[in-house]
Amino acid sequence: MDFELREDQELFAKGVRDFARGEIQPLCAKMDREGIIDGELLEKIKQQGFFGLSFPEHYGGVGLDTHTYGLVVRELARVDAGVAIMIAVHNSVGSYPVMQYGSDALKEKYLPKMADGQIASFCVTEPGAGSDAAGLTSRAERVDGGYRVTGEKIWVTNGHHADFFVVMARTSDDGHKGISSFLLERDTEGLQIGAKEDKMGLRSSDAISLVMADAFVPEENRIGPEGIGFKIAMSALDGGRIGVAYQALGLAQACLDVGARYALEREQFGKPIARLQAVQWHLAEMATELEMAHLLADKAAWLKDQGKPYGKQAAMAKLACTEMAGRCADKALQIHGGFGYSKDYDVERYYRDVRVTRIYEGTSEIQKLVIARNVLDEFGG
Amino acid sequence: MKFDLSSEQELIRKTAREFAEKEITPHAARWDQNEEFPAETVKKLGELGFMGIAVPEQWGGAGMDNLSYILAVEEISRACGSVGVIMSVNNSLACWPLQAFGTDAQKEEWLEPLASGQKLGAYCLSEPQAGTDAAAQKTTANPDGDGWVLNGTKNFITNGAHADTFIVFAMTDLTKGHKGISAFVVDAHAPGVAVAHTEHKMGIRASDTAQITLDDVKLRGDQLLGEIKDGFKIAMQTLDGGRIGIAAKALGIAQASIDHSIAYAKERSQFGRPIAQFQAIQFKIAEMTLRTEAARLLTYRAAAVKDQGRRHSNESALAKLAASTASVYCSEEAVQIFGGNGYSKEYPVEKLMRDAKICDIYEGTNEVQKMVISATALA
Repeated sequence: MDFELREDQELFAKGVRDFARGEIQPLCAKMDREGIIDGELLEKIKQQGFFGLSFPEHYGGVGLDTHTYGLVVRELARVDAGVAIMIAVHNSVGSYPVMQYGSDALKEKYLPKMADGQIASFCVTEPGAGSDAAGLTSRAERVDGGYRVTGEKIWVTNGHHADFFVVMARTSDDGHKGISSFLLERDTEGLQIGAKEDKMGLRSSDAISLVMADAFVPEENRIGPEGIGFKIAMSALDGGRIGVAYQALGLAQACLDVGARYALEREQFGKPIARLQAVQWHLAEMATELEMAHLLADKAAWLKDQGKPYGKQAAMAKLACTEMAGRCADKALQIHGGFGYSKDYDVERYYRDVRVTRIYEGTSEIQKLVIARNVLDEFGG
Repeated sequence: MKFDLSSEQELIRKTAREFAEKEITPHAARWDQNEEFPAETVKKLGELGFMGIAVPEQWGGAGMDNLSYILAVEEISRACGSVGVIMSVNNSLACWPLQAFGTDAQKEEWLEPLASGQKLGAYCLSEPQAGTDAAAQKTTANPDGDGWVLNGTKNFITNGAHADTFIVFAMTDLTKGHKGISAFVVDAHAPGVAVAHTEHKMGIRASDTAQITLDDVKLRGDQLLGEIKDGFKIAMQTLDGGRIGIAAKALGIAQASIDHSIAYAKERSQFGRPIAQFQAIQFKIAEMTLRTEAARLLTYRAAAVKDQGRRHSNESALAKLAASTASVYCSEEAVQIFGGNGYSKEYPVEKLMRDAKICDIYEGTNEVQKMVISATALA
């Protein structure tokens, strides 16, 4: 076993950290208030190649391994978790279906565009199908040359800016085996991009609803054969969860950063509060939990990079990292006292941002379901 | 021991619940969004007698007991935590020290308008450098003829920008530490009193939180509250009562979290059945109910001990710690039960979560409550 990062990983992480601090940090409060990413920042992110991180070089991407990609997401989330999820959704669930299951023609047509910064989104969730993703009711009816898709999707991250929508829709009534996957372009007739959700946090990232009314999608834009859409969605989420785990690690690290810094600065009872055991205990628990969760995420990423099964470990990593990050945000805010409740301090935003990590790409309850199924399978049940 | 409420207590709870449903629930989301202080509603609370519930009728109050007051705050906070804290601060932190330490003349001049809801009160203890370490006061009160001159800055003052009357703590002897603090009652509209700014907060956004500057504020001699240098004792005893109010506010948020969770879990179907039929959700509801019910008993006990005229620092600290923790826990679980919808401002639970967190902080952080509880236990 080897617990060190490679030199190129260290360098990459540092480059991203510097970019995030220099270019993103000054905009965080504004983006949080306005509920949208800054336009110029989005252009810079595209130019820097963040939308091509996980794409192979021959499609014009950076070709990062999962672990290094995770570190990038962590460093972004350490500054702005909304920007981090925008990039993570594009590089994982938004593009993975085409990369892993798409025809060669589909890959050649779309992956270079995505790697170049045309943004991808992932549309599974519906008003009546959240944790029960297989309960989705959007339909794709076969017509001449393709399909007509009808239905409603919600909580589509990146949808406000997206050029491409990977949509799961029913081609038959055969439960989860009746679901197929399609790639729809933004200017498809019958596609209505709804308003952005007004969210508690993660406000630099957008989530929209999408109405599809007889939206035509050509046959060649079906991803893989009919009936494997649910499998595609679930395997995309296995990878996506590693990204969310690293996003939560970035938030937790940010909380530890500001918590420790504030504790050293703030004096009460004639000394920095960092000298009080109650505050030290908070910091010690944050640091320990962070390190444990980080190792779980690193292992999940390593398994994926080794080409080994990683679904269970991805679920464990997401569960551990997001629950841990929630506790870290709570402790960091607590260390700040009344100031932590004010929008003058970053920790107030971290507290709101972190909450959704326990919900999206599978709630904590769904992760437990995945883990339990794996454990029971190992015991033959 | 008995655990039932008197008919008077049942009545105030019912009155508060009906008022909250009619006058608060329909507006709470808008007040939150716009950081709007609900001035009209506060006026109506005054007319109901809710701004001085445990103050004797002789001094403009409703003349009821502390448990009645707690029940009212709990019900009001179930609809909106901001309104709960506005009420709690006026009752516990402004009326009570006047009632307990004021002369009859002071009660007539200052308490009656506050208890009857004609005026609004605030409590000015915290300073930028004196939070948990409340004794580290830098505000000074210097003798000036028969009166005093106040100078200093007070921080995180609930009701600060809307209040008419302040209870202000200041050093009358800088060499004596917490034994050099005195308490004063101050007209918020007097020359030299100013609102430096109001805070933009995560939650309880309908409640205003202001920084107040005191610049050569002249006071008459009879604006000293209690004995000179008794200020720290007055401040701490006042907070002993205030913490029961905050515990009640937290209980209201915890109960609202449970109420919304149950309604949603019964209505929301996944995997072909209401999610209320899944153990994962059932056990969350059970845990939320347990923590809230336990905290409620501690809170009612603290109020009952206060009603008996006994010292209740420890009971209050236990109540506030348990209730605040329960409210944060329950509101987080409510968001989780709602899933993605819980994270959206279209549903009420994300506000509950934002409103709950401050309960862990104000009127003594959880850590301060633990200091009180452990000091009592170790004594």
